[in-house]
Amino acid sequence: MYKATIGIEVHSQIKTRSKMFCGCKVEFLSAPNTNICSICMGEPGVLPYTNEKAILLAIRAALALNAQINKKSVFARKNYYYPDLTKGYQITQSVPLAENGYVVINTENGEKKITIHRIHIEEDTGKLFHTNDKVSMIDFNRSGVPLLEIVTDPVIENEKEAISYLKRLRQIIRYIDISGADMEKGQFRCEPNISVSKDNRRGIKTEVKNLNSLKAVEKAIKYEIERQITILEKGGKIIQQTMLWDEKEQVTKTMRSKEGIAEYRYFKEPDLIPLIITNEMINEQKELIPELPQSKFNRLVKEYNIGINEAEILIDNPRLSNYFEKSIEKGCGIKESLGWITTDIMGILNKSEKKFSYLKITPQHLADLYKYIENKIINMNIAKNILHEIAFTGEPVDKYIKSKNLIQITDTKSIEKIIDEILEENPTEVKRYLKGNNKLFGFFVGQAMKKMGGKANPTIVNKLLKDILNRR
Amino acid sequence: MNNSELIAKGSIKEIREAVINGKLHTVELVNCFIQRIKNNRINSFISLYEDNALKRAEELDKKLKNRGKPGKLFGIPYAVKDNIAVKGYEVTCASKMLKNYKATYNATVINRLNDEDAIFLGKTNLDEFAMGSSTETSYFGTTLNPWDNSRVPGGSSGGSAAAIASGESVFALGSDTGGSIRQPAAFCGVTGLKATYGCVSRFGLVAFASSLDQVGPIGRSAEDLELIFSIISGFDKKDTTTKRIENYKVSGPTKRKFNIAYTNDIFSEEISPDIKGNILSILNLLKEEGHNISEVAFNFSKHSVPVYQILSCSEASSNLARYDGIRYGYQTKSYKSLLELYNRSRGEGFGEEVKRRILFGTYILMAKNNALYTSSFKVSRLIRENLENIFTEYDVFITPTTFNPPFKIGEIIDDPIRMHHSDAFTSICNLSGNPGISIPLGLTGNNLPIGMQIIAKRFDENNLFQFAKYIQSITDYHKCLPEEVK
Ligand SMILES: [Zn+2]
Repeated sequence: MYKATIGIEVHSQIKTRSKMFCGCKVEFLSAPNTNICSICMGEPGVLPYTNEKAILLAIRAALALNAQINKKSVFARKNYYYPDLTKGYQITQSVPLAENGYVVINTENGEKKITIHRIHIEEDTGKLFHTNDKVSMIDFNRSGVPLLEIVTDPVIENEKEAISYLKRLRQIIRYIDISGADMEKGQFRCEPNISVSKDNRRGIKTEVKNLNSLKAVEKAIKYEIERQITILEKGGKIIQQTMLWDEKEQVTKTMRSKEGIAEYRYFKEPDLIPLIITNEMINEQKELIPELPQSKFNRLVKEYNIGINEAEILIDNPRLSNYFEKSIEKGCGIKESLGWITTDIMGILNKSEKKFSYLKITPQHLADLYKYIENKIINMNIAKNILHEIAFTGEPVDKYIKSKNLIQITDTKSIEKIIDEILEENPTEVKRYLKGNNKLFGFFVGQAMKKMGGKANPTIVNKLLKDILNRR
Repeated sequence: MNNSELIAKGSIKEIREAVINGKLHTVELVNCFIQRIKNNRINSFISLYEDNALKRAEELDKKLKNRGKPGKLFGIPYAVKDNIAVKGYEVTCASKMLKNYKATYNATVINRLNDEDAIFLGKTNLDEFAMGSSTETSYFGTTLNPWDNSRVPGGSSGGSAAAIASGESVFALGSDTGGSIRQPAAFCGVTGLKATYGCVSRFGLVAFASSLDQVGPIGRSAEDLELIFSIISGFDKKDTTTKRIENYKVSGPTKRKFNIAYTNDIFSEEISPDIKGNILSILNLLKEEGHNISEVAFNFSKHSVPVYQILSCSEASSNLARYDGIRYGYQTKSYKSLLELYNRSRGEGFGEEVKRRILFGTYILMAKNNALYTSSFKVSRLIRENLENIFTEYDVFITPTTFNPPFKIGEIIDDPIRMHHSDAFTSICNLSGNPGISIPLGLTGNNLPIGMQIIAKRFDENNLFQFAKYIQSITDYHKCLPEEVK
């Protein structure tokens, strides 16, 4: 039986207004090469200076990832030539900002700690565009944007764990508000390294690049594990190399083998003094860390007794779980709130492709709707309709129900009258029903509800219909 | 002093006063220097910005008329080594690579000088990317030594030192990575300072070896240099390696007795007899004046050059990687691949010595050679500790600036080992971070200048200047001028 061993390197952009080592704006929608200066263009004679905000955000991330922060970390140069690199080296860290952290994920066998080896700060490169065979263009707007590199130990066993880890990590980064961590925008980039082995020794690993979505990460890891096992089964050997995921063909392809692995000639960055982290900086950032996903997950499950899947949906976006908890606080039912949020509201947002922040329904709206249902003034279907109607207007529930005359019909006399009418209008169906076709009961309910604009209390309709039919 | 004497020999203070008192017009002063530069045959300048300097002089004259407050360097013309950025002007580093490259910003030191009403004249010659000890590796040709045109002015700030010696500027900026200010100052008979690492902002100095580079002044006397130092030194947020220290205050005259250490290297056979003789005679003079003189065994002069070469070339190989022919600077005419673009642009754009150092530094930084790099760091740490020890007992430490007086042009250019060896005494200060000043110490029998290096404790420029000024108050060596200039 082969066992896979996976480690993951994540590069997450740090959300700052200016770049890591100069004052240029960080802005992704700008025209190419408009957010550049002599420093991030690596002009002769310039020197980098550190963006304190980026360092504070990095400290916050390290704390949220349970890592030990080095009071003194050291910047270093990673030397290589590439057109998107303006200085011929990338500034990174030799002594990292933090080490020995972990992220807790949920697996089929319960919680698992994914240990983090190191967390360090570095700068991003520019972006290369190949227009055709002869012309390449470079946009340096991204050159010098702050990045956080987060490297796990090789403790991940399969693609499912890898995805759980990446999702959880991304949630944490969003919770502490240091990045949008949007993979499509390149704010969150993953490079897994994978090996397989039959015993406890780690096999030769390969690294996979060019993964632009979690789906791609999942497929690439799975593919790479199978590819390696197939080779070993045939008596072959794995070559240490960097692979590229080919999205079109859904396979990994060799990018460069070990012989081609660059000699980065690392050395201490002489233009920057060591980074000194004080207790004040650490304490200040500690205060800014909210309840993190895993604790929130555990708490929601325990406190509200909700399912694991629903809890995962709620914590994926802290605003969603806060919204849920607020609605309960305002008096909404747990089951109702959960249903409305996870199906109706999420559905409305998905369909309209709008962000959560555009939503005008407040937790109070949910609590109000719940009150109307509890008091049997409206039914669930009406409530769902109301949600759709007021999603982006935010009209108060009271006002809406009154203006649309949606108050449930509970008056038995009028309901009976309607039932009589529809039975009159459908004599054939009545005959068939009386002959034993019970399925037609639902048809009569539907007809009656339709006639009353959906406002009738379905329980009463059911009861009265049964009584009337029984009398026939 | 009449005006022409003032212009040739005057101190910054004297010239500034003459200008402020209306004895000398700024335009007249600047014109005088411009004429000298134009008439020179020593190739000390790469570029001269005559119009700009005269415009600036007129502005200052106007400012004076309008009773504006004159800066500390009011009307004083200065030259800048051509590896320091002055906005809008070329900064060539004496390399084909940057031949037409114009700086897009001012170096911090330039802003500080201009804020005190100094007048920028032009850019001086240097060894390509400051890599050399003779100015012979310049893409624009060698600068000649004003004392003997068949000899080198030293390097890499050879243009700046030669410009001062030949009266083409009142002071000049240089840069010093292993002795590039002090050695040419000694070869040209002028005074040159490399301050404590971290005192003067490097922002705008094109990097050679970042952890060793310092910008510094070359001028007519220690007194002038101290004034310049007080203006250009101090914390700069654009250079995180600058220290947050108090603003430097110019030291007053002193009657104190100095505790002076001098290196036993003076008695080494490698030292030319003239240099040894002059240093011993000044030491005698100091002794007669009642100062405490002691010989100290200093064992690092043999190690400084290899360690310096390893560290400086390693950093240089990385610092010069940005010249890839893509964003600015020299680009090869034709290429078929990215690799070819890199190889040809760099191969054609850099000169021999620069390529030699990049190759050496690249080799040193490879993972397998890490031991060489880290042990070199240890040696520089030892040098620093050794000097620290000396300064627990002594105020200043004296060494020759060079082994020999200026050599002939072409004499050792093909012998890099010998050329590098001339940094032995000066590179000590770069490795340890200590401040060092080279002051002129008279002439050899052949009328060639000699220099003496004074080293002080780190961040104790005050002591360094006090002592250097004291020597220049009891001697006249710094007033010697080449025949032509007199
Ligand atoms: Zn910038």
